[in-house]
Amino acid sequence: MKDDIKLIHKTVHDSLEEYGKRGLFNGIRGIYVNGNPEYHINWHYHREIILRLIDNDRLIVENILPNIHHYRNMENNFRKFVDKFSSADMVAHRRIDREKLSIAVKDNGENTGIECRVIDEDIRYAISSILDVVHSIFLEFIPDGPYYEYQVQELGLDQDSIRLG
Amino acid sequence: MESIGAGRGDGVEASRRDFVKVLPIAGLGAAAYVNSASAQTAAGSDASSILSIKIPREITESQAAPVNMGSYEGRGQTGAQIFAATCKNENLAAMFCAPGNYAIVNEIAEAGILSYGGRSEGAMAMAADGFSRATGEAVACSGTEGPGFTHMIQAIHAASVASTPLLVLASNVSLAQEDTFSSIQYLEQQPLTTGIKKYGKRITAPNRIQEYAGYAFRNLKSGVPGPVHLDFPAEVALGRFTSPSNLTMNYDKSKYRSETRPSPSSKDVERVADMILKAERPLIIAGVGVFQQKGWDALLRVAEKNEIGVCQTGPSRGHFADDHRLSLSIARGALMSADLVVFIGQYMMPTKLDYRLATDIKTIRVHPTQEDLGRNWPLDLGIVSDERVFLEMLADILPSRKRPQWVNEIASARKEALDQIDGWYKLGLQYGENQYLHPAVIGKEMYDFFYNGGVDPKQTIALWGGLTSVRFVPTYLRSSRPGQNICSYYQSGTIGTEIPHGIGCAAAVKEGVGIQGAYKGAPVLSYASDASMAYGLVELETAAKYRLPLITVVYNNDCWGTWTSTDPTPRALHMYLFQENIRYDKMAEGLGCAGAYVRNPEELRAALQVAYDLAAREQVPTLINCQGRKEFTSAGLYPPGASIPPAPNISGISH
Repeated sequence: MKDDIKLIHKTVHDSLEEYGKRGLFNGIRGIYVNGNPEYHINWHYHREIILRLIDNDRLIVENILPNIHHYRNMENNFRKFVDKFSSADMVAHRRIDREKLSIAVKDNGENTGIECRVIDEDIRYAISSILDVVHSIFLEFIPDGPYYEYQVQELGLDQDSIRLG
Repeated sequence: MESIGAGRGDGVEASRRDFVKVLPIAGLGAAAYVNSASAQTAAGSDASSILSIKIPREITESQAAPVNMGSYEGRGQTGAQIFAATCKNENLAAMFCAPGNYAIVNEIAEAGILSYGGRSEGAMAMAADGFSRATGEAVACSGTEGPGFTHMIQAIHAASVASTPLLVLASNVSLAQEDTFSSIQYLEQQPLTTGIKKYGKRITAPNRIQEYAGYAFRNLKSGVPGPVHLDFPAEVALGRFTSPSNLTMNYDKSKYRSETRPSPSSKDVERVADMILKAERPLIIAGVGVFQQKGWDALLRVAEKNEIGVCQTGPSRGHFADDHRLSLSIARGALMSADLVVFIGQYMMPTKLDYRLATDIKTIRVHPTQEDLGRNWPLDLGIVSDERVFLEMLADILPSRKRPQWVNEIASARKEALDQIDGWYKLGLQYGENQYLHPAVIGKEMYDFFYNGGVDPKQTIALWGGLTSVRFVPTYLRSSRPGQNICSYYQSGTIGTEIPHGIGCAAAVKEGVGIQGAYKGAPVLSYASDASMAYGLVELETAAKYRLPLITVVYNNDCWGTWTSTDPTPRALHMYLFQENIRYDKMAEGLGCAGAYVRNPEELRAALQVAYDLAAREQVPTLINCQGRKEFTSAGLYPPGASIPPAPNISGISH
């Protein structure tokens, strides 16, 4: 493996490990698949989310939200939410710099996620940005939207912990 | 509105009936009101055979009887009298009980401590908790051994996670009978409060009662407060002592505990100031410790001096005004922008997945004991300190700084949140079709009446439960002074706390205890779910008996809000549903309160006015039964439906 690729992989690894040490995840483990690093992150709702680095310039999280097509307007709302991160509607300090990173929704029909392309080789910025988006999906998009039933039925929200009386 | 009336025949009934008759309500004639006594007559009964509910004269006479402390003279004083004297000396603010543990509760009342007797130990223990949430003061609850004690467990749990300084008292047979089952009700109590108490003891040596009273108050009034559980065998409560020398460790409170509070080093405070100055968008999470240690003035100084955002959390709120320009309690959209968070007095720490804060936010935590620092949330800096001491030191050394962009972002986020809730209110009006009340509409009407109308917006304590309504109602129940807002379900999620907590709050306000003194006698607003009625409604009799100015607004959606979980299991649905259109207002009338049944905003508005006047002028509690629909919970049928937004924010219930 070339040194520059090794360096990219190390940067991804170190960045994620640092976030793990800061309490962001319930657990994280990394493996290689076809030479590409893949991180299994136990995160929101105690679900495992897989973050892949492809060809050293694409970061993909495919399985953020399952089955959103079964819920009215959810896919459209999700796309708008993700798009906002690189739009002028987002405050500057949270906005994704389009000259450094492009971000798009990645949908395979069953699972919906996001894909980032690193434009300026700043992989640390890419990791930081993608984690911010995913974190925000679970702390802003889902709870602020009409998705209580979605949380119960698709994300395994424990109603004994959060009851509606 | 079908009715508003009261079922009580005490001295105030006639004036109340007259008052109701003359009340001008747009669109509703006076005939729309039916006094319950009239209704009973109309039902065909012989009016002369129906006895009205009335408050016996003995209640007020008993409350006015002279204070009587025990004495070592003659037969001496009992252990119960010695314990009561210590409670009095420690300024125990109040005691709530259902009779039982007779020797102790009778002597506490006799000592002149505010005392209330109700219908169930559990609800009265919750009332004690509510009293403390409104005042920050140490308070007691009591029940008899066995069943009375176990009935309090739910309340002790709620008080435990709220860090309430609750003194739990219970009798527990005699030492001579222990383990024999020779009488009823024996139960080994202390193991049952494991995990939900700060300290507990079955006092087994009569001459050590003063010593353990010291243990109790040392724990109630130091560090992080929490329930203290004492159980008294008969030999201890009834033991007699003719001299102080009969007692072990019989010291004054100045000897058995200290008022000293932990304080940080100036170097630590300088480090905090340095981190704040380096941050662009600092945020303080101000928890219940700021309230209990009366740190609100110092908090305001710190926030305004350096333009630091503040979000208040905890079971009791108002220590930082929700409408302050630096408050993020409503402006949740700005939370993710904070780059430094300082937790102060946050006794129930979340994990990073529970709070709407940025992935890489730097974190400081200030806490009165060292052992909890670092729990759940990795820290960049942990500081052991009393909340007020820390805030005062920080306010003194922190330089002034303006942060116009941060302030503007908070303002924009607040506007966005308020626009959103206004949108839900308008949706709720449409959904209700003037026949059903959506929780957003109830919230808006309560806001307009108590916080945006003729009532001083700082006056009314509001407490709230009902998780179906969390998305819609709490944003309307603003707090702008300490102890003005109570999150009844805080962390424990104990359904049924709303009315009992309201009783405790109303007692505190009626008597003008501590920080509630400025609003002595003001009505208290309790927003409750219909599910909670099964647990707390009967205790309205206690509110009526003590003439507590409590207005209970019930969201009646005919079900447990979780009914939507049965979509994949339709045979389970029936378990979640109640009978429709249940008349909780009539039940309240039957307990001596006023009641109203309302189905649209106009009726609710009118009922709030009547209820307010009854509470303020005649100290009559009212229950307003708001008819909703279970379908409003469903995001699919009536979006956005119910949801519980992650804390921290004005509707945060978990941390």
